[in-house]
Amino acid sequence: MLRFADISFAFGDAPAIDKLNLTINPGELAVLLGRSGCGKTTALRLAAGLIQPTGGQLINTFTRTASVFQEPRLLPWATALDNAAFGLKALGVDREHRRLQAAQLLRQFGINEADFDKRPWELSGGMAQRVAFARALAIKPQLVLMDEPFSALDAGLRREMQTIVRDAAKKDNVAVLFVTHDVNEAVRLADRIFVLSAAPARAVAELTNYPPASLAEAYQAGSALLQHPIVADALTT
Amino acid sequence: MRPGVRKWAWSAVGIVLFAALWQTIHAISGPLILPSLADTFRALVDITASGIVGSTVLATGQQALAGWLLAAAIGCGLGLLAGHVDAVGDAVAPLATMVFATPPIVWVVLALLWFGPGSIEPMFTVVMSTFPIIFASCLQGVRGRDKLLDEMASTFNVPRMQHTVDVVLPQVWAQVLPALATTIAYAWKVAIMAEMLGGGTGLGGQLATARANLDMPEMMAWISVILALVLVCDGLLLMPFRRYLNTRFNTLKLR
Repeated sequence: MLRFADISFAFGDAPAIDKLNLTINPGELAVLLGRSGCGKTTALRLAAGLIQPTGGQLINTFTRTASVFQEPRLLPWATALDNAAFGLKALGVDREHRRLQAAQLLRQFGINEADFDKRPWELSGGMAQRVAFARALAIKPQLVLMDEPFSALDAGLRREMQTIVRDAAKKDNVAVLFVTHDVNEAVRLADRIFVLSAAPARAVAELTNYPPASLAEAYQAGSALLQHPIVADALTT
Repeated sequence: MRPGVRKWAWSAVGIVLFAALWQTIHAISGPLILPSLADTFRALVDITASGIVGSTVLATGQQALAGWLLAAAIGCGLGLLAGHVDAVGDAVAPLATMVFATPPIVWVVLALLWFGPGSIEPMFTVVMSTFPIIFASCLQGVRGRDKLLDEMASTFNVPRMQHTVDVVLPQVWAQVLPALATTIAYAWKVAIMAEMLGGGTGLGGQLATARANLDMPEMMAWISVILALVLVCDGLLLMPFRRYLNTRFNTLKLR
């Protein structure tokens, strides 16, 4: 379980997060939905332990947490396979086994064997982000933190990646905290959506969501959500 | 004409023009300023036949290579340390700048006083003239590395050793390699100069002797040996090196 209890954070005098409360349960796909610059990424960096809160209490009982960033952040000189196996190396898994496990995940995410030896600059944006996702899942985390990882991809590719993330998380019962500013992405992914206010971020709504099967339904649900005054106020004004 | 052939043809034209210019200057100013091509060639044959070219080149090569290796070790060691420990970096950077700003000739003079002529003086001069360049590139490599990759590695709780080997060193390497390539060429020139002024045994020493004897053909013969060495070095060592660097830099675009 990951719990933000009255978490606050400030950059010097500028508050970025103001008494944020939320809980992510095991195996749950939670989306933090908020406008650009509202403090979503800061919340994720707090969850990853990269920065410490200036107030409140952060409890993370998940034994292993992995991160996927806005950019793939692959090692430019290493192959796709070695990049996917990077986290396993840190866990002390030997070369043969970590490459086997990484290869299995790459295949699961639709990367062909022919591309395993390619360097990041030879991969498309979508492929690079799949490798980054494989790198995160390879260490068998209980929680994956994802910071708008598909914002640089085109709409079709983004939908494909959303399906991959949801399927993989559900298959291995991995909890995901996914940050986005895109209502449709939230609707397509989430079990639960936390709507954040403009900066400093507070959770202004917490919604249970059942991802619609069809694209049309997803758009419908997304626009319905946007018409709710609290969500509209948080995202559009 | 095929482009390759045309390129070679123009190179040949350049060489012929150069030879013509040489002969003209020789004809105008006499053999004491510039010996004829034939005399130079004869002197070249003489020194080659006497068997000293190999040992002379080797003597200079030893001094240059030993100095360069030592400079690489000092520069990389200090650079890595300074890059990781800010206090060391701030303390060493102005010193390295001072050392680098000092003309190589100053090191020759100091080395002659400290170690005497014909000793490790050329090597010392090479070390002092090249290590600041390697140090600066190494420091730049560590400090200018991609912080996003550091952050990524820290989310995976990467141990310090793996972080250094897998994340930091490849980025440092990309900065240090060009510096190593530049300084190895520089090391040759500095070693020859130091030998020339310090009465060493290598190429510089031969140049000094030829100058003392006012033996212009032999002087020009040794100069052509040096130029040939530079060309061979460039073709065999530095060209493949540069090609490797080009592909390497291509891979350093962040994804």
